[in-house]
Amino acid sequence: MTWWSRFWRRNKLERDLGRELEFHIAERMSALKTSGLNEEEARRQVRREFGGIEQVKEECRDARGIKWLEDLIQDLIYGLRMMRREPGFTAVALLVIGLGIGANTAIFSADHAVLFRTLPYHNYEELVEVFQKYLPRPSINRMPAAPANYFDWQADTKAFQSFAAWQDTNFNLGGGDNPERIRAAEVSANLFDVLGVEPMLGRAFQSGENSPGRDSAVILSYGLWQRRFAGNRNILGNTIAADGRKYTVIGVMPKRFRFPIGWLSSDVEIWKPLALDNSQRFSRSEITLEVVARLRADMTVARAEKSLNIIAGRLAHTYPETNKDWGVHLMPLADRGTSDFRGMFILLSIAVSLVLLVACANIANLLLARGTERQKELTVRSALGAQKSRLVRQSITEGVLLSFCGGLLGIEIAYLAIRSLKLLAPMELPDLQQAALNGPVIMVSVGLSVLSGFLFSVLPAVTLSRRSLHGNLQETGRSTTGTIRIARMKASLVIGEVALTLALLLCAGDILNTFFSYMRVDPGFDPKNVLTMRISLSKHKYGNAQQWTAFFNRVVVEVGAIPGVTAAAAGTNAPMAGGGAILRFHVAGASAIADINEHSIAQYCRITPDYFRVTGISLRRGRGLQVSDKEGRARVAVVNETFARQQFGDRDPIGKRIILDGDVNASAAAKAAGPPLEIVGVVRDTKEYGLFESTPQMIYVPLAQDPESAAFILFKTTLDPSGVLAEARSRVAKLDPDQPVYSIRTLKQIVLEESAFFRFNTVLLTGFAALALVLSVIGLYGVIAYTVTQRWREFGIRLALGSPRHEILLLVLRQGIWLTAVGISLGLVLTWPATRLLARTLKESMRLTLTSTGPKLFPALCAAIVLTMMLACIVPARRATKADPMQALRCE
Amino acid sequence: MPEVSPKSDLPQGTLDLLILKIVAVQPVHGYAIAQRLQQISGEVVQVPGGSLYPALHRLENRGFVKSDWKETETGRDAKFYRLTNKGRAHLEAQAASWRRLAEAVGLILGPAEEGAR
Repeated sequence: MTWWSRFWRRNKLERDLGRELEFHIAERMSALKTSGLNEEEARRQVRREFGGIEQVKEECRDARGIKWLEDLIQDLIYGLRMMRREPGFTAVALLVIGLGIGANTAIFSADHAVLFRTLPYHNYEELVEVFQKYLPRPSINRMPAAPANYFDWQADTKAFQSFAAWQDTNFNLGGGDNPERIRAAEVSANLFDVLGVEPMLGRAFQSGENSPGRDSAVILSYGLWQRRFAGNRNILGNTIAADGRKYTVIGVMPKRFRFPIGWLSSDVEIWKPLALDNSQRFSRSEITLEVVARLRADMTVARAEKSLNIIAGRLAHTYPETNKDWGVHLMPLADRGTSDFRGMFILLSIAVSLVLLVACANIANLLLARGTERQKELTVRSALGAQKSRLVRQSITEGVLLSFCGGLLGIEIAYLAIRSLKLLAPMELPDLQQAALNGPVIMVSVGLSVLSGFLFSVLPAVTLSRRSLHGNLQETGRSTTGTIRIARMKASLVIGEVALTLALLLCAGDILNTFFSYMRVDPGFDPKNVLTMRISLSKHKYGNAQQWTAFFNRVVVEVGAIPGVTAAAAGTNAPMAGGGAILRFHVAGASAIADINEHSIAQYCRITPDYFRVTGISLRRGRGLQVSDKEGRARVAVVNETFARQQFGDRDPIGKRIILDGDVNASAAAKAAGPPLEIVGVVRDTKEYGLFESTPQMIYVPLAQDPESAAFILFKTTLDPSGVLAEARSRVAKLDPDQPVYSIRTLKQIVLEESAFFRFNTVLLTGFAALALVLSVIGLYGVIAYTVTQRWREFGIRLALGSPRHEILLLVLRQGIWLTAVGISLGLVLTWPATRLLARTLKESMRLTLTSTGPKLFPALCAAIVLTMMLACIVPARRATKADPMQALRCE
Repeated sequence: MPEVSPKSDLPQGTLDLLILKIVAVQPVHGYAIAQRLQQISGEVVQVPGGSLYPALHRLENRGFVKSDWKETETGRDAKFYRLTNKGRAHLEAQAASWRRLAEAVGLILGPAEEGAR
């Protein structure tokens, strides 16, 4: 009979045991009576021989081997009864545990979604991204590859199984009343092979399709297929039109598939073959390709990088003009988008674990308090023969049961918390949307609750059982060593709580301070009531630059004419929204600078004249750009203050000339020295890359003089811009019905999104600190209340001896202050390493410097803690004053 | 004859061995086993119920014996134990090693006793 069936049939087994032993005794009795003994003597004899029947039964039960299970069930039932009997205590405990476990579960699910996610590729740990690294400045190590280099790298078969390349692009899917701009990728034919994923429908690309003219096959993503083609299973072979070309659908990718993984908000939804013409294929200076490769099974990233750098070195030797300064850098594909945030998430996880510790300390305190009340019961049980280990086991089982139930509540709380997290989530963390109460998360949650249960019940269980064996069944329960030990333990727990809380609060204060000081930074432009949207003209429909300029000019005029719009403009950039190119340049008269640094590169923006008016960027010197600065006229530029200061110091930049040297991404050989531009004005600095980033040098030129096919349209309105949006879209549609308008955001939204990650962390950290404070208050309340109960008689005696009531109050409060003070001192010690850690993480994750609140905030926080603690003490203190002297004396 | 209380003198393994041997002969109930042990050993081995029944139950858990409720000659119901195949194998193995041990001990003790004479 297996132990399982023995368990289920234990009642029957119990009865059998009884019968068996009775039979034995009866037989023996008969035998003895036959040999002459009477009933009485026979029975005594049998009992002596046999031993105590209950003890024999107990031994047989032990032998059955399921005692542990029976004990466990007994303990659980007992625990549940106890929980029901003290609803107040149970409610507080469940709430405290629920909050602690809930917070931890929510954070873990975020960790799981962002840090531990698995990529939808075969053996994704073998996949790496291959970048070109600019050797003179090794921090520039994520540059795309030049095609000829990419093909040469494939010779390294020792470290790599295969290579594939891709480029970001876009499709303007036209037609009907819903032209849509889809993010797309041009990929080498073997990309899906390298990733190890097959299309759900149809086929992947073939190698022949990578040449121009034969590249009209496309593969759709699952999402696009559902959204725009209604999941039509007959999609294969259908034609779709985009950018004036026709493409044939040859496949659909599976549901979970995404490539490339990254932190941009939208996913690629169409893949088409990469078709390089001959001039592109052999170029070593146009760095345009993103490269992904699969390592050989036993290769490490470091060794593979070294191996590939050997080839890069050979190329540098063979083609010095283009490759001299370039090496390679490998990054595991799995790191994409997360390595920056790892530090911050780890910090948040630590913080939330501390909150859980505080919660456990609280529960331990509460258990100790409750335990002393149940002292008598434990003493009786141990007098009846219960072993200490049994009592301890029972206490722990009760604790784990409590914790488990609290954990269930915690999962509910976590569900709500996760929903809030997703709402708060910054754009850089699209994976956060995947956070959910899935299998691993729930397992961790349950594990945490059980573990916490152990943690907070071990100490009280051992302490209380030790005390109970001293055996004090008397009513008085006078102070024994045990009480003092317990009181000291409770005190230490509370001190620990206060210390942790102080550390968390100070960190939260620091990060809040940093956050607000950054938020107060002037962005340099006025985001109020400005709407931005992007238009990207397909080069097939709009063949030459003049058409681009004409189109954008017309859009600006049309949108500007809408009632409610005060100004409209177009530009390759929008403030803080990126766009445009980064160019090298030099001042006319000086030589071109070979090095890439803040002095030799500038953000290049092409704008229509009203751009500064729309964005509220004020003019400092000279003039802005005008309509007369058009094609064919003298080339002009406007620069920002940083540019003027860094290039010309105190001298007047107006009238000076600068020469553009080409895209910073192009290698040195591809110098395309442009015509000289005359500086006609200086505008205010803007925080172009973000409130926390430094201001780059900026060059603004008229869009008419250097046209571009894709641009932002920006317009300022008197009232809320969203009211005008529909009208704006329809006017654009009137100009070209096939032209989608996308990426519609107000400048305010852009600014908010920019700081979303920072805000996210700040809110979380502050929330944890607040939670810890609440828990500490509960903890202190518990301790003081317990002390008051213990010293009840003492207070009564004091009152009987004539002590005024307010002195009793002070007595109790003093204890509270003492505990808080010690806790704060300990907390100070903890705070210093904590803030160091916070500062370092902030710097790594967000390149921010922590502006510490320092001595300013500290007294305020201490006062706040002391005040809240005192509030916690008031109720028990007042109760103390109500001690009845007569009752106290009577109890002796 | 002094009672040898197996609780202190007979190690548990030995008690198991003796019980299995008795059960091997024919199905018996617990009381009969106690009697038989006493009889055969000439009153040397007397097993109190507190040792016998736990041992029996442990043997049953390990699958060496199986029990059934049957009627005795006196008309009462008793729990009869019989040996299983597994039990038989265990019994033979344990008996063999016990005999080897006893032989070895005897060899060591035997000549020494004669020498002391």
